[in-house]
Parts: sequence; structure tokens; C-alpha cells
Amino acid sequence: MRLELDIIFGSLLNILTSWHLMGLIFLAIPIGLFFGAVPGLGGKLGIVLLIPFVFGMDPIAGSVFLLAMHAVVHTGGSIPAILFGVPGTGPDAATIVDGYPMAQRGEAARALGASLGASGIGGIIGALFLALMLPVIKPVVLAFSPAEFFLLAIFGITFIAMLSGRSLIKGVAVGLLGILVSLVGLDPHTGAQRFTFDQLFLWDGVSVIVAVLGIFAIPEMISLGVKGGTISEVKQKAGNYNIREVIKGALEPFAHPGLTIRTSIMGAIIGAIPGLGGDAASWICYGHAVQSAKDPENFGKGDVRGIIAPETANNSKEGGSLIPTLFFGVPGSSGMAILLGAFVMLGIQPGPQMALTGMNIVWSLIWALALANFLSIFVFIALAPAFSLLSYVRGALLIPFVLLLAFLGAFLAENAWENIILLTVMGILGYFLKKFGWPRPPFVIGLVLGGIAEGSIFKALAIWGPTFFLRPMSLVLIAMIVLTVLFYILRARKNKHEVDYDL
Amino acid sequence: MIFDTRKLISLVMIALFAGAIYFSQGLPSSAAFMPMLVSVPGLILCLFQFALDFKNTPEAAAKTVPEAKDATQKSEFTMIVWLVVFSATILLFGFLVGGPILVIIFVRFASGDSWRNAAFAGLGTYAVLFSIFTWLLELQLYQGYILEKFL
Repeated sequence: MRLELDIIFGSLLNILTSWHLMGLIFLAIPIGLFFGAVPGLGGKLGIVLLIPFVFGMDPIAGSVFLLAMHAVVHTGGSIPAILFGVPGTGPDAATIVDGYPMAQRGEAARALGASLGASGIGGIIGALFLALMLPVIKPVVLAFSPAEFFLLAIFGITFIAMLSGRSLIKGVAVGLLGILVSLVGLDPHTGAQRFTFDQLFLWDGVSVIVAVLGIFAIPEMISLGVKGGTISEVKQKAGNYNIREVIKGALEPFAHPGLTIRTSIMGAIIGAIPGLGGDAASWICYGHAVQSAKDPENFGKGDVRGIIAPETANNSKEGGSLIPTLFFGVPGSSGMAILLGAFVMLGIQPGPQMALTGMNIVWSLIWALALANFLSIFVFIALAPAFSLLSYVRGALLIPFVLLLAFLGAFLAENAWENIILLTVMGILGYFLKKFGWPRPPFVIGLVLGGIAEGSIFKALAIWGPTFFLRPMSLVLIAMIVLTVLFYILRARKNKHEVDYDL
Repeated sequence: MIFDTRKLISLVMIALFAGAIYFSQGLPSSAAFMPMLVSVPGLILCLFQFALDFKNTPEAAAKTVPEAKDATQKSEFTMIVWLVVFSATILLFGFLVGGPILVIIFVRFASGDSWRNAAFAGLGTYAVLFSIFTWLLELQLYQGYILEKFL
């Protein structure tokens, strides 16, 4: 236990006493707020754009920087939601319901403050949730054998395929494609070249970064170019607000402590369920706020509780979603999927070994999450006047910079110019996958878990033979996979109509 | 019979899985085990999806106005051409030279901004690439095929 305390407080001390780490957190916060406040950008794109900048950083510094940026995206996302009625990111849509009416009746500052305070508190409680879950998670992760890790990869893909798109078939197929891409390179058992086509740069496999940039960043830019014009199509002018009122509003969550704590915990729990994502967290918590209120008729007309509930959930879910991401390699959300890719690039290998050898990184991330959420309140107040202008940023102007940084990230991933071609091909594939409703998060999960799945199935077959499926824990996971598929079938029958031209 | 890109993407997926199965045949059995384990169900799922694509023509697609569809396809084509241009320019001229050129051309012609704004964006891009990546992070940026030959 003494050792654990050393790690816990040593990590905090390491951050607080390091100008480098604190500087990175302070740099990450306005960047995260920016990506949240410009509708259509979001945290995923933020991570993608920052990837080239973290090359050469040590794993803790790089991961703390990226997580701190990602942690405060939703704090920034509430700005256009409240001021313009346009969500900065998807999960901020719930904030509009009460935030926008408050702004319309001249209470924009109070609404922004409440959102800010709620986001900060939610983020800190999410980090606390993650910290408190560690003693529970550690023995569970360590109890998993190779058989379970193989099935966990299959379960992760199935579950996220079901939740991230409307077609399970497409989702699972994309997940399997992700595994297939992860198998490119030298076979670990025989040394045979697998799908390398005699290309030296493929001997070590397809870089996770190249795949993530190709499947996520490039399609977003193509979509933006196809859509044209501004990202948000914000037409109305923002109302004026003063900072004093914002600070007063930031104290609103303390006037509703029960709701704040409940929705923070709910958000963290929802975040820990892979694939449910921020939309579910914010809407479920908003619904809870309405149901638990004595005067539900006030919601939708500008009730501050309608801001507190989704905003606490939005930020607390990040803490929860780090649990499956770090310990099982199953990202809690698509944003986490990209973060996972970036962690792998930095040399952090998510999975059970994190519980054994990576606790200093886990604790550093917990503290970074808490600090970023806390400090974002002050950074926001300092930069508030500039934020309302961000919704007017022209998307088309961002395209060349984002493309350039994506190409740079792909090149730097392995110092291989061939990755530039690979990125282009994957980007075009990613765009059409996006356009026709083939969900992309399962691809990243397949890509990250593919190597683990292959190693695990070989080990499981060597230890138990084909009967490894009959181990109790394996049976539980098989039952979960079957239930996931059954749930999908029932849902599909209920809804009847498939799908999809999503965008 | 309508054959659109929706079906084409299913076909691409089929080709990817079928290709993986084909190339796995030439691998040692243990190296081929996992690719086969993944590709066979993947191929089956994609074939099933392809059949579904033929069966269900989404109402949204059917209702799309032809002119709007043409405009979207044209924009998509333009963006994909831009992507290829970016890729080719960087491969030929590298990041430090190709990057700012691309930004200037894109801002001027795709976004329709003035030459002054385009030049400003290009200079900014060069400043970021040089100051952060080359000078601060001391990273070796790709110089491009042509510049590598002559420099």
C-alpha cells in the first residue's frame, strides 16, 4: 500500500513541480476549449492535430498533454450551445435545451458560468471515480487469461459496432477489417511477411497513427470541404455577457449539490461502458434532472439545472471511459479510440500490464484530468471574450492546415514517406465508410486489439486447446457477445428500417 | 437497377477480405491462422451486406434531387483530387516547401480568398513548420523526392 501511495502522490508531485508538465497542461486547456468551441471540430480532431506535436515527448508528458486537451473539449463545447443554440460537440446538444433560452432572456453569463462550474466539478469527480475504481479494476484485469482477452477483443468490437452505428453487420465487418490491418507485417511466430507486398515500411505493421488519421481526420476534412462554408452555419449574433456574472454562475452547481454529484457519478459510470459515449451520458443525466425535479415544467424554458446535469456528465464520463481504454484496450468512446492510438504511438501499451507496470502513468493521467478540469475554469474566464468569436471560424480555411498536419503526423509516425500514400488511400476509404454508415470506431478497436487477440488465441490454444471457450469467464464473455447480438436483432425488429446515409 | 457508391463500398470491403484470404494461402499455416479467422467471417458479412444493399435502396437516396446529388458528387470528387494533390506535392517537394505552397493554392483557389490572405496563410504555415518542428522539436521533415535529388 505504501508503494501505491508513493505512486499516487509521487505522480501529483511530479506534475505540480514540473514546469514542463504544468506548462503543457496550461497550453492544452485553451487548445481543448478552442476545439470544443468551434462547432464541428471536437476533441477527436484536436487529438489528431496534436499528434505531430507530441513526437519525441516522453510518454507521460505526451499523454498528459493530449488528455488535458481532450478533457476540456466539452467545457468549450457549451459556449456555442448556450450563445447560439449550436452545439460545439454532439454531447453538448443537451445543454442547448435550457442554456439557449437562458441566453435569450439575457442570462448568458449565468448559463456559461453554470456550465463552466458544472464541467469543472464533473471532470474532477470523473477523475475521482477512476481513482476509486482502481482497487476494484486491478484484480479483475489480472484475473483475465489469454482466452478472455481474445474474447474481450471480439466482445469489444461487437459491442461498439452495435452502439456506434445502426448496422451491426457493417460495424463488425469494419472491426474485423481493423484486426486484419493489424496483422500486416512480420508474423510474430514464423517471421513470415504477411500482406507486406515486399514493402520494407510495412514490416513493422501499419502504424496506428496512420490508420487513425486516415480513417478519422481525412474523412472529416473531405466532409467539411464537400459541405463548404462555415462549420457551424452560425448566423445570429451572440449576446453580451460580463465576467462577474460568469463567476457567479460558476457557483450555481454548489446550490444544487445533490444533482451535481449524482449526474457526475452517472456520467462517469456511463463513460466506463464502452461505446455508450457522451450523447448518452448527457441526455440520460438531463432526463434524470427532469425526473428528479419537483418542478419539471421549468425545464426547457431556461432552468439552470438543465445545464448542470448534462455538463457534469459530459466531463465526468472522460474519467470513466479511461477505465476500459487503459486496462482492457477497449476505448470507452470514439475520442478515446483515437487517444488510445496516440498512447500506443507514445509507447504506452494499454492492457492488463498497465495494472502491473503502468500505474505511474495511470495516476499521472488521473491527476492531469482533475487539474485540467479545475484549471479550465480560470483559463476560460481569462479568455472568455474571445470565445464567442470562435463560432465564426471558417471551416474551409482549416482544411489545408489540418490536411498538412495529418500528412506530417503520418510521416513522423515511422519516418516513412510511404505512409503519405497509405494515409491518402485510407482517407478515401474512411470517407466512404463514413458516408455510407460503416461505423469507424470498431476499426480502431480492431486495429489496437488485433495484436493482443492474435497473441491471446495462440496462448489460449497452447494452454487449453480448443476447449478454452469453456472456461467460466470465457462463457460469461461469450454470453455477453450473444446478448449484444440478440439486443441488436430485437432493436432492429423494433425499428424495422435499416439505416443510414449518416454523415 | 441502380448501382451507386453505396454498393461500391461493400464491394471494396469484399475485395479486401477476399484478397486477404487469397494471400493467406501462401503463408505458413500458423501465420495464416488469424487472417483466415478474421477474413472468412468478414467476407461473409460483407457479402450479406452487399445483398442487403441491393434489396434496400434507402428512401433518402431515392428522394435525393439529381442536381443536388450531382453537386455533392462533384464536391466529393474535387476534395478527393485536392487530397491527391496534397499527397503528390508533399511527396515531390516535402513539407517545408510543399506545405506552404499547398496552403497558398488552397486558400486562394478552393476557399476563394485574396492573394494577400493566401500568402499570409502560406507564410504562417512555413513559420509553424520551421519554428516548431524543425527548430524547436528538431525533427527531420521529409524533403520531397525532387528536392532530395537536387539538394
